[in-house]
Amino acid sequence: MLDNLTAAREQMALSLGFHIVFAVLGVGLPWLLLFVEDRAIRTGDQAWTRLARTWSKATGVLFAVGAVSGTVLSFEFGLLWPTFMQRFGSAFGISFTLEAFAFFIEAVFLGLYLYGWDRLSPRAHWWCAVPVALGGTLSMIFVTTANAWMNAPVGVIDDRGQVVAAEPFAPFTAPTTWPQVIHLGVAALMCTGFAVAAVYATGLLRGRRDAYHRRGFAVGITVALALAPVQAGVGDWAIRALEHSQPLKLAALEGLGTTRAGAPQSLGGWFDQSTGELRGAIEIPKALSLMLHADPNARVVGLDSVPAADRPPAAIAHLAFDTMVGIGMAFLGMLAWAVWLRRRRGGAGPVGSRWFLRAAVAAGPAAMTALIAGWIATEVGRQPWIVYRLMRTADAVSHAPHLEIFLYATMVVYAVLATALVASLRRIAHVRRTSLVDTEVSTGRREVTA
Amino acid sequence: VTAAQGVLLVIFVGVAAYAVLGGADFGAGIWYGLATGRHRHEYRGLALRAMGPVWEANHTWLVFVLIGLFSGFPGVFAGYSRALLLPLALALTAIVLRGAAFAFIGAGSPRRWGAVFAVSSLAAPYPFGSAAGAMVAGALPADGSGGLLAPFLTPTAVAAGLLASAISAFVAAVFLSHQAAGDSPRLVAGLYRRAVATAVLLLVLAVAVPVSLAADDPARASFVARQSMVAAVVVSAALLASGYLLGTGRYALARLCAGLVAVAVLAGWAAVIYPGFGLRDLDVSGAAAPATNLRLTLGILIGGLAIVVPAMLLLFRTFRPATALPGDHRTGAPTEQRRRLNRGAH
Repeated sequence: MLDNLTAAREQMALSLGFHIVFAVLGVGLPWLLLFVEDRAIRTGDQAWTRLARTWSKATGVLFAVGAVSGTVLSFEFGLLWPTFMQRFGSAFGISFTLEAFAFFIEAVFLGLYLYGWDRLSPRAHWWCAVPVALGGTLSMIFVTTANAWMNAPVGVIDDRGQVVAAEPFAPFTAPTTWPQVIHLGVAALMCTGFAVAAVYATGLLRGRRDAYHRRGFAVGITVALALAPVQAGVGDWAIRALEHSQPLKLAALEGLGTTRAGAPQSLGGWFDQSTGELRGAIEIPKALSLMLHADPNARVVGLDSVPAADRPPAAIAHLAFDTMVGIGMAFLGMLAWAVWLRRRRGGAGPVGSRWFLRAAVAAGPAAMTALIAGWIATEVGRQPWIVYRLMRTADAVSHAPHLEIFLYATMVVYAVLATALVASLRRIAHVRRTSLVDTEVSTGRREVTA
Repeated sequence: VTAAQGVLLVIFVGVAAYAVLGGADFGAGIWYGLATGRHRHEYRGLALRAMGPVWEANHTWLVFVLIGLFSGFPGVFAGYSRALLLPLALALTAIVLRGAAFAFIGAGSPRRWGAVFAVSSLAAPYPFGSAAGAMVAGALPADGSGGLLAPFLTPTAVAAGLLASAISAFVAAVFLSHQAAGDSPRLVAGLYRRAVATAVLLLVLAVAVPVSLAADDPARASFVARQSMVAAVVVSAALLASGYLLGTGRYALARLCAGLVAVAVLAGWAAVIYPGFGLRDLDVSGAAAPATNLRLTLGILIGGLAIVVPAMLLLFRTFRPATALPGDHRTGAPTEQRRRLNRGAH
């Protein structure tokens, strides 16, 4: 039997971890579709058309699962955390109200896009993807502002537990808002790019080296790798934003147990909660102080600056953070590899290297892992607060009996959905292959009879 | 009209839109599941075709309602979350399964997702209706102390749950008739029979809601009957009109009247639970957001609808059912096909 707090937190982690995968693909894929369908219209090249049509079908399935798993979250806010919603629902309500409309626009034009291939002119059809892409991206921005506000709540006048006035646009002005929004936006495009590249790298490795696979791979890997250095810069910005707004989260991410001058930058290692020390990490002396304050002897706040009950669980936060940063660094290395391959072997460079293609296959799941790790770092680093320093997670949770049953039910339903989704996406890829063969056969026959 | 009333009104518009459009999608799934015999594949194909381009947009009304409620009335949202935990969780599960199942069917997935789609479509409206019925009875404590099963275990809740399913099935039968009018007279006739049967069921259940209260709480029963009197008249008239229009082939108007049936039932429900939100001991003064936020929320809701509603109309227009049958009322003289259809229908 789980207590309600554990059950609700696990369920939230599962629901968000599931949804975020579809959410980022829903943000990224429409932008890639805009590009490939535009190429298809301009060049009339069948390979571009095939890419657009296949991605359109995949987007249909992914968006459906993303939409229903997003609905789950809007219910769970209330079902799991009623006290939190009662007190602060109005404080970030504007973010979600705007998000509802962005989602509306996305859903309406996605319907037109998915089912309009044969009803609309090619250019009108292309234009339908524009509100889909904008709606998806705006949805992501609005939802993330609400989360950023929970990390750095501003603009609330609170009178004995009752919010009497809330600055309506506070979620847009919280200090962590824009670093978080841009970090996630870039991550969405990178995850989509790597996911697409991984699919076509698999095909290329199996010997399907036609224009369709080469271009699908090139589009995905180019977007993903080009953004890798951008993301490193944005990540740095996001970390610096924590220094004033959430110093304890920063300490947890870096595994810094004690407040000290000349703090080292620790790579890897395991944070021992019982002793409050990081074990087995590689330490670069004074590097953290230098990075944060441009002074090797500057003082950095550690976890011991607050009572134990107010500290985030640093073991998970540090591990998640290192996982994300490690994968990000590997992507930078992959970018350098791709540039080197291209210079040495010309345009076909990266596509011609089987080892690079294998790395690209691995990069698809790795990017999603980094995304989820980054999100865990953000959320676990905020604990024990649901709204930083205003409400404890333990005070927000529902008192309903048997809350853990909902967790088990969610686990079963999502496991089934994930399995069926993978099967569906494989079927879409397969149908594309066979239907192309069919078209070639039937075209051939028509030529013969003509 | 205060900002709070304005936001409530917009939320009601969202609830009504979800009941009609989302309900039509649930109902399409119900008819998908109930299709039997030689022609079952035609019914199933029709249901899938009709839903395809529009179901995601229709589904969004639910998110709209949830978000409008927690932005404008966080205390009420928390109260519903505590008092209606189980019905909301069950409806949510059904919605997740049917949405995903629909997408998997579209992607050519195995037949078993058809069964999931049908069962979850039938299951989704019931808990919503049951929760609404429990609110009509007015006995649910806002802090959830009534227990998980409280929203299910009264006769009123059962009647209202069945009523929600019947409304969904009825609206869908009328909506699908419009869709079928272009391609199959047999389907149109079959759907007409389904519409009439569910209309009768719907009326019986609508009467059963106040009647079911009479034994336990006569005062509440007469209050409910009084508050929903106007709605009951509108429901009856709209049902008759919808059936007549359907029988004479004026599908677009029949659709409007079927939608009006669902909206009028909800208006009756709203008249019963306003202004206490159907929960016992809910602190109404602390339930709403601060005034500044409410005014801004109302502005955004109205501005947003001004963009979204035309977009939805564009969507519906683009995928409106193809040309009607020959012999449609617009072309005048009934053809043989049309007469056969009418014989089948009446």
